[in-house]
Amino acid sequence: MRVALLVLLFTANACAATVADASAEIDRLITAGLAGAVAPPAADDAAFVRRAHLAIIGRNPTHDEARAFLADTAARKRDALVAALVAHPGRAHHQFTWLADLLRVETRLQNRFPGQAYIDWLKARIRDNTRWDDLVTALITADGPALERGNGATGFYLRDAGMPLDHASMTVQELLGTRVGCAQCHDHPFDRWTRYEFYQMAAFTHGVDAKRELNGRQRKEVQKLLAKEEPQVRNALRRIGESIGTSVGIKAKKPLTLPADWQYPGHASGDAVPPVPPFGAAPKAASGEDQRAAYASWLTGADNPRFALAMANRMFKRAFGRGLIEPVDDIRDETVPSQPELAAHLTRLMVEVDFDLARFETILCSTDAWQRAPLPEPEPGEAWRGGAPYAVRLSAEQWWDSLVTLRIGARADTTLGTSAEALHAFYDEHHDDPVEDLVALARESATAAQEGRAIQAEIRRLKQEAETAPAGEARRKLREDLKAVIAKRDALMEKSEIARMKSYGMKGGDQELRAAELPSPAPPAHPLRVFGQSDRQVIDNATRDGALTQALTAMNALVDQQLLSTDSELKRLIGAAGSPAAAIEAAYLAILARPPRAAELAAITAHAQGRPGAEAAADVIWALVNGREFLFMP
Amino acid sequence: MNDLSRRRFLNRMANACLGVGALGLTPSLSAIGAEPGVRRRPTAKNVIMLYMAGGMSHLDTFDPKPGTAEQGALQAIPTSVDGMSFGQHLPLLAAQAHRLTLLRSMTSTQGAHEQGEYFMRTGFVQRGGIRHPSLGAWISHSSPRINPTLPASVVLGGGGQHPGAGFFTAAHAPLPLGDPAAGLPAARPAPGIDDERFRRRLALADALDAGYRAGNDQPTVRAYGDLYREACALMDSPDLAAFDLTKEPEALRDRYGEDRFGQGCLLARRLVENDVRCVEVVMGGWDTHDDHAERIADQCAILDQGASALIADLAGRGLLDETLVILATEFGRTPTFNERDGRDHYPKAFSCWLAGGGVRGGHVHGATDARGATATSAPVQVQDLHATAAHALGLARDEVLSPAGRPFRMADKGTALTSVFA
Amino acid sequence: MTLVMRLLLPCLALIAAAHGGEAPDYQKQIVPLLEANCVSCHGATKQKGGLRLDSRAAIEKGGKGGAVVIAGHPEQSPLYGRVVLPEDHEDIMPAKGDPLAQADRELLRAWIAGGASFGDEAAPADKADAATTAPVAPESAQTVDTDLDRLAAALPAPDAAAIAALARRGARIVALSANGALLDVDCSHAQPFSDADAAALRALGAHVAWLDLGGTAVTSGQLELVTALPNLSRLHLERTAVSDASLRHLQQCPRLEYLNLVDVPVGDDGLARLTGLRALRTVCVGGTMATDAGIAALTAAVPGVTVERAAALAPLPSDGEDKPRKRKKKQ
Repeated sequence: MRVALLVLLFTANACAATVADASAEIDRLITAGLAGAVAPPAADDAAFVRRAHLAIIGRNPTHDEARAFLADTAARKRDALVAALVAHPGRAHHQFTWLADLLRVETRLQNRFPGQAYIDWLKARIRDNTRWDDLVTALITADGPALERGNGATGFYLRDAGMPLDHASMTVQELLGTRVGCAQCHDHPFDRWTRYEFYQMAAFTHGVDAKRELNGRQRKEVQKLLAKEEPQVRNALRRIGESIGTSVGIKAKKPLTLPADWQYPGHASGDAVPPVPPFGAAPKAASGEDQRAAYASWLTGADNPRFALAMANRMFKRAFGRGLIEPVDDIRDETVPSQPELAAHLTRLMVEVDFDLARFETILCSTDAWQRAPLPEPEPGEAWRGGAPYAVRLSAEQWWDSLVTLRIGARADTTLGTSAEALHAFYDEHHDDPVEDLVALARESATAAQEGRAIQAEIRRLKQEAETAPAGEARRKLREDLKAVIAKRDALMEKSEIARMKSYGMKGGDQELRAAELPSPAPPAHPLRVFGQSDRQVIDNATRDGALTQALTAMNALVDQQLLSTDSELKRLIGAAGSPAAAIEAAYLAILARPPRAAELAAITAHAQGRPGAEAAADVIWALVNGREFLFMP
Repeated sequence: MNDLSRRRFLNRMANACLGVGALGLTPSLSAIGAEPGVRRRPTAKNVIMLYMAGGMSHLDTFDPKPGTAEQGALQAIPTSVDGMSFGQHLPLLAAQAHRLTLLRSMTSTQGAHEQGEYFMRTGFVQRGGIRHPSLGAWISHSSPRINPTLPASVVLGGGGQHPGAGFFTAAHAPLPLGDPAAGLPAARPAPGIDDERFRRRLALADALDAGYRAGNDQPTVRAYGDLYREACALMDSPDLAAFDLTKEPEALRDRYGEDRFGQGCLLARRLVENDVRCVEVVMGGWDTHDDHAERIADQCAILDQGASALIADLAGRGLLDETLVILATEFGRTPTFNERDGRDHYPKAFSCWLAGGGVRGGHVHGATDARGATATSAPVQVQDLHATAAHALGLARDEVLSPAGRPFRMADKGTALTSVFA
Repeated sequence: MTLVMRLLLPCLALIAAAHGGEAPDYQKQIVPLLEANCVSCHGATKQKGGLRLDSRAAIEKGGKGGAVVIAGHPEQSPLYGRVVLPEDHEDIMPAKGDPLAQADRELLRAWIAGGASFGDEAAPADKADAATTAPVAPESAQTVDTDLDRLAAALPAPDAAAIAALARRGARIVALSANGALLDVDCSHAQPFSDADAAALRALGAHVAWLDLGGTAVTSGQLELVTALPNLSRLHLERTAVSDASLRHLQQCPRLEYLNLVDVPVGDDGLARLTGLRALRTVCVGGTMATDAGIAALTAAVPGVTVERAAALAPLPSDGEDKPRKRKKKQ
């Protein structure tokens, strides 16, 4: 919050000295909440190093990371690891997929508008640890051309283009953990929200929506100009126009009015509704002006304790497996958290650290409670209570990212995948072009796309021939031809703006990309979706439920192809081990972050009897990845 | 080992190895005796929904208006039913018209693709904050699974926006498959892994994981034991062949059409034959804003071949009697042409059809006016189509609560079209 | 309709005779007329409107729109009504070519007015019917009540032990009525089918309305179990190895409406044993050895039955257009 710059500086200094104190205070409250019950003992180092990596950076530790931590003899190595991981580049991946589930971030926004700029913007904000309240303010007040560099926050509105009332209710659910969707149509049956209050709140963002303007001229005028063009050219121009002409801003200047089905006394359908927050007060903006700054200031301000509570509760759930209030997005006036004092304290702490989520996470993960052996997960819907984190199943992203790490090691954390660069470059180059130039561009692009498609047939033919050709020189020659034709196609498609819009900017195979680098959401049959990744249609829609296809995927599709292929880091690691025993230890460290136990070694020895070493090692990897221990939080 | 002993063996292995009790093998009590869900005698056991994504033009397919300006370049042809005509590019379906009930008075409130598809697949208008279950998920939730190894519902070519299980648990999610010819992914051990090796791996996994399971005895951990057992049962089940289109004669595969839709129709038949309760086959490409006449010809050729083969094949095998085939789309297209000789989105009036599953043949329900612009008699809401499916399956449409505690029932407030049943 | 007609026919014929007018002879006068004018569209090759006019059974069955002959009432009979419409009427028959000559119209009118007698042609079929139905039908075929909902109301609750026994074997059992008295029993995933399963099904007896034995190892001998299922209305036997002779047991199932014999090694002999099942609506014979003659005999004997054959999947028409029907993957 810009308002409180001085306070911020002061608090930051104060906090730097007091992570340990802040953690101790949380531990004191947790212990008080136990009411005499005994908390589990401290987790062993192996469980801790794996938990810390999965919880904070969203993936398994690598073999080397695990071994280094286990060998470390420093006294406060756990707190040091937490601090290091919170600053680790891998954390941005994990934080992004977590926020993408919350904010329903898609690679294809409403009307298939590309979402890469929004995604890149959000990742950049995570990397520079933008305070949560500032980030929210930037989202709420997003304005201007969608693909202008640095303006990706506009995706927040483009995500729900054309559905302003839905957007208003989901914003409240996302940011305040409060469901007001019911009040869109009628007074909330269980909560205090009236339909009128909903409309008063929606009035703040009323009229803000996606706007389409092509270089200052209205679309109708362009359409006239295009009447004689081929359909492919018209389509290309439409897409070009969308990419450079889409912006977010106030579309309708008229005030929000009550709908035709208004049913309550005191107001009538057609009445104009002024922007008023449901509690507290918002700064006054001139009538008819953009009310969003005032709205953002109310949402994130001191008058609105629910903003801090909602995020504190979500962060607590992320660390401990359940929130102190469940579901995390259904907080009501009468809601009593499972540990009220702790919840109140965490809410204050969130304000104290000035919505610095990295700092908040550091404090939570430095508690004794978080460093204990896990508790069994209670029934669905139950809020957290106890003295330790729950052993929840890994999220789809944690599971996938751990497999990627087994395959390519810590390289997984570098940014490889999705990027909006091509979109930004296109906008930079063309947003000032006269309409006539854009039409010429569309023609060129349509032709390129057409040629590209023609080559497609050639590619198919060569592929088929290469598949059926006998191994040897002839096949190699065919493969080379194929490569050349594919390169030609790609060069052509590059010219086509359609390809530009479609490209996720991915380099390398998708087996080497962490979830945050893949399309959001991943395609329906992707292992991520099989393991319950959110479809990004509904807030917090990821699931940790089991499904039969998960077992099939884990048993038959991933281990042999992905982890045991020649270019896998895990395979290299095992190959480099000097002895069968060392190979097994390496596999255990890489997959479970611990050395094997005696009984396990015995079982493996029995299994390996009379088998080639490589086969036995492969079976061990298969068995460990298909075990529950790998799939659940340690 | 022969098939049977191998199956028993693997099942036993799975039971022994993966921490699974014998409990999962006995059918649940709900499968015994009167299923609570049944309120009336069903006329159908299965549903196949042919989903025409993009908005199928009703005037050029199942509700032509010959002789009007709205009809445009494409003409109408007679069908096997006196007085019923189809668009000119549907000759094979025209020969099957006596098996169809046309719904010519469909009407929707949703004019955009995503919202329209969502509405048609769930029976609910899309709203923020809630995901409604798709038809297959409702069926899976409201009725017992007949085939214990195969999933209750499957979507062929659905795309990423499919509502899937909605607010039901993942167990009710339709299995999404992309290429029908590719079979069920990951249903056999990876290349190079024979049954013996697979079995040894299972045994090793069990031994290495036993300590963790003992120390972390919680329902979610146990549930995965069940899933692994089910997965092993499926891998070894003869039912797996249901996904294998190479088991069909070449001539029949050709008759369905080589495109994904045609092969998807064939796979749908094989799946319902094996008691998968609901299969959705998606065919895209109906969004004919331009190049209308030519694209309609292309689209119809694929639809005509696949759907006519499906109807005839189902009938020949005695499956049509108990399989309700629904042709659905999110909306129709404008009676007038736009400036690009295309037709735009038109939710106000459009056509769907039903076949089999106890519905009448050669029947027309509802009508549009002379221009195909308004449903003039017996308008059918999208929810009514879902209610009709529920009626055919004998499902109760009891109220269920979403996790947020909001009440919903299958097909929302829709009314079944009882008059379309024979 | 057809049942009523069957009962009334002799009376009407008597009335016609009493009036003294000699009605036209079906075989000698009406058949040639229909063959010359109607059968090209309403016969073996085409069945416009679901109507065939090339046999007694087909004429009695009518088309999609219902009966075409109301004996004694030519004006209400579409067979006559459609041929005397004004020439420019869109419903006039024949749809193609010239309208019927006045003499032919009069012949049709007189035949229907005279009771639409089929003369001697009908006799052999009727005898065959009598021979197969008389000894076995537990209730008069004309009065079988196929309303399952009404049947369900009259039944007590089924034997829970028998249900549990079948369910333990992997059978799926679903109630078909609100009171749970009529059941859909699916044994297709309970393999191999055993004598114990047959016994459990017998124990459920009148409660079994739908039964799926498709793809099971049920034997011809075990199929006798259906004699204990008087309310059986749908039966799946596809992909089983039951014999022609074993189908005789079905004669004890007067309410059987649907029978699936796809890929079962049976033929005309088997179909001949079904002729007494008056409730039959659908019989699927794809992949059997049934011949056209056997199927024709069944359709002639059981009014209203549809016999589905696998051959319904005709090859694609080679329509000579430049647009190939078979398309490569393009989606």
